[in-house]
Amino acid sequence: MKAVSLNFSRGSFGTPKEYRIYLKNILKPYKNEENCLVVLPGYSGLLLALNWGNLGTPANFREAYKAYLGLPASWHEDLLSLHIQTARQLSLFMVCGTDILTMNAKKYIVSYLVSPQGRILGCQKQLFLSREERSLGISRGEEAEVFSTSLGKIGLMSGSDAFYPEVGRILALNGAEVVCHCGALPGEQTKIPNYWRQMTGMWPQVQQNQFFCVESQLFTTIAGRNFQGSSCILAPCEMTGDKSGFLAWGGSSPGWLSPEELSHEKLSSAAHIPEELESDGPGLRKPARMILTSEPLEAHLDFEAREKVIKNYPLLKLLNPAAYGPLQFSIKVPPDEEA
Amino acid sequence: MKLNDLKEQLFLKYLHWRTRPAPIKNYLFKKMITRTDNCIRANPEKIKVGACQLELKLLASPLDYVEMMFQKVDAAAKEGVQLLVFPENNSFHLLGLLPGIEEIGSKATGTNGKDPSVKVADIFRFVGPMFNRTAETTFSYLAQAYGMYIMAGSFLVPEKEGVFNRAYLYGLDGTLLGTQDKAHLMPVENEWGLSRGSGFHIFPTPLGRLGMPVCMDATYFETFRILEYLGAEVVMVPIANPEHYNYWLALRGIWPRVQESLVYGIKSALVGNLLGYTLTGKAGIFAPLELTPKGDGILAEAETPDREALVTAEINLLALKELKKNHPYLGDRNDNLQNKYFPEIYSG
Repeated sequence: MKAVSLNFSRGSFGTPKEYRIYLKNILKPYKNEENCLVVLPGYSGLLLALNWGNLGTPANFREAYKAYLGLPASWHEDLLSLHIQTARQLSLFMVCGTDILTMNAKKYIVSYLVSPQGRILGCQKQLFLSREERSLGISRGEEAEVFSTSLGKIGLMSGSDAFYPEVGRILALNGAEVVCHCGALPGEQTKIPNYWRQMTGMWPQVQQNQFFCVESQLFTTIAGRNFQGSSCILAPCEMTGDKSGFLAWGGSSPGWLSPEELSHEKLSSAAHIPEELESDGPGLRKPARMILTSEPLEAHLDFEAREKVIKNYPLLKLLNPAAYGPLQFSIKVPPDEEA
Repeated sequence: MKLNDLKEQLFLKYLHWRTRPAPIKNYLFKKMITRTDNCIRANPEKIKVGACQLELKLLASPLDYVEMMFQKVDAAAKEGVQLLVFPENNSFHLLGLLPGIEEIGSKATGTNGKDPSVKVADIFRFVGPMFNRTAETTFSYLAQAYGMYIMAGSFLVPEKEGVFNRAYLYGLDGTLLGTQDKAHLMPVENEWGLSRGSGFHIFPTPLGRLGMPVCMDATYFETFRILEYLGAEVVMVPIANPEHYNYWLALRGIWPRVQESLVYGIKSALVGNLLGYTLTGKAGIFAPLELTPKGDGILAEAETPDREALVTAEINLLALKELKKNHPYLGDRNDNLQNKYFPEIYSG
């Protein structure tokens, strides 16, 4: 199976038509390819709504988000229709980034999985929320589904779900072979380098569950906030030559790059990081030479090789549920942590 | 009585005599250890912790073991360490007391490519109590003598029908504050015939609420999540990892767990070669990204994965508490999700 990740760094989407053309052009090499899955980044709905002029001229990201949450359901339905149409035209499986779904007056962040025939195979609500999302009144989903497709069993995650290993574990124990993550990681919100923040997300989930992950991280600006996560395609460590678990990697914060690496040539080329890692040394390592993002990012997912890895090292069979009693009922947080 | 039974009984008596506490206490008494005041007033904003990276050596005498541990504790005390963490399988050095262990060991571990005819658990069912008595006497004495909290690492402990990989924590007066059985066994430990623990515990001390799962336990998020729920602030993980060092493989343990659960993490490592196994690992002190100077989650880490080291760092429990209250991404809970799925997925 081929996995493709877009991060929108090369797009300019002034209108729905421009967006459609962008998707068509950038995904042209994969058109009609059998067993190909494309993943779009998080906050795609918000970005498009802003670019298409549906949110007015918000002063900042938060204002933009509030206006986005106020859009009518029909706007979101139209966006889903656009993605369904595109998936059908290109004959590709597509995870359509994230958008908002309103149910019983509650707002959820959702991602959809669409088949090459234009069928909605799955809809997954975001299960864990960031502090900011909670403050905006967004609700959590309460189901984590695994969708059976001709590609294999697929799970979906959005945004903060990446930082909650509960999600990956539920998906894995329900059979997920590939997990798609639609992410959007702000580059300048805290002093923490995005690379490390991201390393606390899907990479550990992949390693402790032994599924593949196709992670699409938004790489653009929304209402003054820069999103600079690195899209990547991950596998269990044992499946990659250097044991890094990265099948493909693209994108980085420009702050990581030396001037020569910021050359136009480098910026527009895709990056495969494993060969470029530093040698052993103290401290955590990051790729020695990060190449600024390009898209699309792609990798082949070898399901048979994954099965062999699991057979040799059956991590999930070594779980010890007898010791997990406290996880299966709510535990009160100690009193001094409550405030 | 058959001759072999007699030989066995005599050897056990001899081993029992060699590992008796009195010579250990005498030996340490002669060191004239001066108790430190490191722990007299614990400041939650500045707690000095240390992690040992220890080379596995077969020692011919219990007093060699005592000397080895004494030197590590003494070095840590001089650096102001208040809580010191030793590695997994920290009694394996005493296998050197067994004549012909190299040969028995290869049979027990199957390193000759055949099925083990004698399991490691069988050896420790036989000699474990003597080894552990040596270790327990040593660490109890050192904790009391230096006035230091010491996590002695883990030992293989026979109990009822099983042999458990159990970590030990000693307090300032040398009392045993608690133990923790390893709950997730590596495949090789299953082959060795070990039994797994069935729960996780925390130990409240003036240096914070401590947890001490063992090695492979840190591969599973459940371990740290449960400890977080129980209120842990510092999680110590002794390891003895039987594989050649690879940065990425080593990254699958304590580092991501610390980030997921917002606790401090202390990893101690047993390194070296024994009975066909190569043990590697870097001792280190880890913290949530926000609490580390470079934002990389590391406060201190050993420079090499195969030589002895002592790493130390200061941790700040108040800063941790503050971070937990304000973290931009973590701190959310979805009990409905857990209650819906966990009973089922874990029962399968």
